[in-house]
Amino acid sequence: MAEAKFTLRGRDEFFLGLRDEAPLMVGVMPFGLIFGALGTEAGLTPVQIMAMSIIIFGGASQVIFLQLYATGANPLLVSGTVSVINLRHTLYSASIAMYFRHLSLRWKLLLSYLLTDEAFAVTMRRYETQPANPLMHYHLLGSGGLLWVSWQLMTLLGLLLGAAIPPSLGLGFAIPLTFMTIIIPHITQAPYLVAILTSGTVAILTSHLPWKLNLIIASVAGMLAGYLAEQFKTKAVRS
Amino acid sequence: MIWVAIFISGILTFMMRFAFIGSLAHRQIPPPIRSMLSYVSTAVLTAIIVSDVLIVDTVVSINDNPKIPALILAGIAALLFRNVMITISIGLVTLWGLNTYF
Repeated sequence: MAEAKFTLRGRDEFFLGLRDEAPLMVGVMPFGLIFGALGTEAGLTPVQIMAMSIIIFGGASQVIFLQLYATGANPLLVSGTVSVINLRHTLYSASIAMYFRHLSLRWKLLLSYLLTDEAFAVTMRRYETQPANPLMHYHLLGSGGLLWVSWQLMTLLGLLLGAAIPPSLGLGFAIPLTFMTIIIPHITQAPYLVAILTSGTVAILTSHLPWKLNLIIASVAGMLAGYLAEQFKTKAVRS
Repeated sequence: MIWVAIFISGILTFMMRFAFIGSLAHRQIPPPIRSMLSYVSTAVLTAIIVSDVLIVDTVVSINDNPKIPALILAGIAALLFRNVMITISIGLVTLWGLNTYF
């Protein structure tokens, strides 16, 4: 009987995950469409484009991958840049790990695969505001699963429609716009503002370097600057 | 070659997601590293925005770049409304308007 009750709660958590994730699809769906279209434009085959969405499953990093690939950068440099862009996922992994300790390896592998920005955001909010229950991992299955299905379908649609979307629409501009909606809420906190200004300045100063090396250099510089600003702020408060 | 890049990128990305959920679940991330990582996405996204909008073929392009006013207007909208759809719409419509009339 206890088992039946738990099965039901797993399903509830799953549907709650779907519901919490749904509003974020507004940003994710055009992004997937654009990625599919850009992939075709960059000369990739449909199989390669779908493989990227399934194997890498990380929006921003896939777009950068395409841009770098177009410059003829070598595979190790492409993978290195993708890794720097996706470095933040280690933080998500560390933050959410305590909730998944009791799970089997199979669950851990599946949930790690589904751990993206948007799914982490809504599922973590759920975990921090709700009392723990042994089936709450179904929430990430719901949020991450919805994101996965949307991303794959929109990639497919984008690569099918690719040629039909006129370049004059400048839909690619939706990507920096989407990223801006993510960073803007942080700018009122000084260390984040320092990270933004440093990263932006360094990206411009190093823009002459080949293979978009300016992305890696600016990212690392911005990260360190944010950290140092935070240390400085903490010390100033203490003294 | 592209397949090598896809597989290595995918494996590394997965390993970063799995790192603490999988093998290191009993460990804590050292506080300085944790603090640094919290600025990674902001720094990465800023670098991507700046490269995408300001830099055309490795040259910084500021004059006659309609994306700059479009980005600024969208930024103001993002601050005011905190809504992804409104921000993207304002940015795109501004860009179309500037491309059409100037």
